This record gives sequence, structure tokens and C-alpha cells, in this order.
Amino acid sequence: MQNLPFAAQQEQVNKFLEATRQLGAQMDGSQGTTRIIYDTQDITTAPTTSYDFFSAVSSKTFPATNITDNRFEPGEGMVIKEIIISNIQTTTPAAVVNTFLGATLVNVLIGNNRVIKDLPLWAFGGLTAVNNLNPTNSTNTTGIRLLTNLVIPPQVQFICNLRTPLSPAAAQGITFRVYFKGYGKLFNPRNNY
Amino acid sequence: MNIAQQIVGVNERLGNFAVPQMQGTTRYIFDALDGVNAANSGYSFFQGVSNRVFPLSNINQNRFEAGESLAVQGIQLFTIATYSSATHSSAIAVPGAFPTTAVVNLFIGNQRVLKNIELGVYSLSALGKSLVPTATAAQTGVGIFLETPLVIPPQVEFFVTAQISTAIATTSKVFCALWGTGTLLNPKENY
Repeated sequence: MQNLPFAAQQEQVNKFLEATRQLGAQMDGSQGTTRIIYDTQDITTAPTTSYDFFSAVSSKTFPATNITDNRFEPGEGMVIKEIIISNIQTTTPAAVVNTFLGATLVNVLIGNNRVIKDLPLWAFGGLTAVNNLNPTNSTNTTGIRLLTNLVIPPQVQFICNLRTPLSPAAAQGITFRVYFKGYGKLFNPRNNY
Repeated sequence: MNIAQQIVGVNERLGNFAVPQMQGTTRYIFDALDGVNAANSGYSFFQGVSNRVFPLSNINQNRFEAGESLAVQGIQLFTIATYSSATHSSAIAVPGAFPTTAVVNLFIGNQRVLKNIELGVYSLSALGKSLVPTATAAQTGVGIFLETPLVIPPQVEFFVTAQISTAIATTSKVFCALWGTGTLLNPKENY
């Protein structure tokens, strides 16, 4: 992935600051950064086709996740620019690209608002790339570079739900890891670097 | 004019002045039909989509709800070969091999906004520079990025017609997908 042009960088910063201002958080002085957060879930363990990611990270430990809560601390937040979904199972991992598992629908909720609605894995790559900046994929990993900026303000819960088209019994070897990557802010009471 | 401005402009001309406050998103909608085992058959996607359930489609009707809209930036056709509703496990394939010709029309609110564009040979033989990029696999569908976004406002019917030169087995499903920048209903805070 090449560096974004300055105008695109500034657009995501402006939207982040505007969204947080609307919520009463003044974050202009916070440290800008790049965030990558993830959560991992074995989807072969329960007879269901709906899986929530990030909702239970507080009960997980490294390496299953790299956050402790599904809301950012005061002074922290991020703009989701990429969503990457990877099947990290090492033994007989099922392909998620170019199979019917690609019909799996992704929904992202931020603060009870649905900001991504029924976006299939097909849209992520392999079969289709809705954006020619989509990340490189393999048969087990698929990712999407979103067309708009999605802001997660501090202290607001977020969830990513996957709805698979088939029961776990039919899908063998699936441990999904969902990544959010994008521009972020870190708490910074002093100097900005 | 950028894509967001076009979505807002189209909606405001229809009296939807709340669109600038709606949630921006990335949207991808699809619909599937049974294959027709005859050459040069016609398909009409998204009409009658209310009769199809996930995973054959990810929308309930061929018009968006209040507050929702989509600026179509790309269109694609692909097939699921020997579709099995029991396992949904079939691999995805191109709707027929080269030189399948697939001509597509898109209608929005009684207006034809894409007229007889050819996706099949154009994609399969990699004629253009606006093809949908794929990852490790070979081209698995036929599709292109559009040169101009086509806005589908809320509550306005839309459908896609396609004519495909290759016969497709009746056990297969033919999919059509539209994608681009969209809006979702958002009466409160915008993220």
C-alpha cells in the first residue's frame, strides 16, 4: 500500500475531529497515529451463523486480540480505512476467497449505529475489489479499503458481526481474525510528535 | 464533483434534503438467478429479489429504504457452478469461458443509465484498464469500474438486465453485483 496523498490524509483527520467534536471531545491536540486492532474467534465451536467480533475482547488474552475493551480510552479513537478478515487456522484452513464462504455478510456497528451494512466478503477481494486500493489477498485472507471514512470516537462501543451462509459443521477449519486498520489518535497531554 | 456531492445533489433534486446528514458507507449489493441452459439467454436481476433469501441476495427489495442510497461505481457478473443449497460449497467461476459475451443494462427509476455495455469479452480478454482487480486467482467474474458514478436514490426501483451468450447449467446460479459509495439511514450522530 502506497502512502496516501496529503488531501486524503487530511480528509480523514477532518472527519475524525468533526465527529468527536459533535460528541464533545476536543481531540485536535492528540497524537496522530496508525492503528491496527484485531479480534480472533473460532467459528467452528457453536451451531450458529452469526459471530460478533470485538464484543468480548475483555475476556481474551494475547494473541487472540490486541485491545482490552471494545471501546477506546478517553483521548483515543480511530478512522476505519481497511477491514481485513483472515482465516488464521494453520491446519487445513478453509479458503475464504473464491468460495461460497465469500457470501459471508459483514456488518459494523459503532455506538448502536450500523455503518457497514451487509457487505459480503466477495466485495473484499479475490472475486471483486470495490476499490483498486484493496489490500493484497491470499485464498485465506481478504481485505477491503473502504470508500468512506468511518470514525470510532473514544468511549463508544463498536462491534463487527459476520453472518456466514453455511453452518459451521459444513465449513471446516475456520478461525477468523478481523482487523481494523486506519488513522488514529492517542491520548497526549503534552507534546505532539 | 466528487461522489458524495453527486449523491447529495441527486437526492436534493428529489426532495431528500437530509442526505448530507446520513452515514457514509461502502455498499455492495447482489442478486442471484438460476442459470438458463440456452445460449444468448436473458436475465433480469434485482426484480423479484424479495422472493430470494440470503445467500442468494443481501437486499430485501429492489429499492433502498429511506435514507439509503448507492452511487454505483462498479458492476459485475459471476456464477456459482453446480450450486448446492445444502452446503453452499461450490466454487465460484466465470459465467462461461472466453469468449463469453455479456451485455448489461442498468435501469434506475424507469431510466436506462447503462446501455448495452459489454462485460464478458472485455473482462475475460483484459481489453481495458478499468477491470475489477483480483487477488491470487485468475479473473473469477466479469466486471468493470464505471467511468461515472450512477446514483440510486432511496425508494426508487432499480434493476439490471443481462444477456449472456453462453448457456449456464440450471444447477448453477448467476450473480449480479453493484457496488460503490453509499449512505445509510442515520437520524443521530454521524461516524
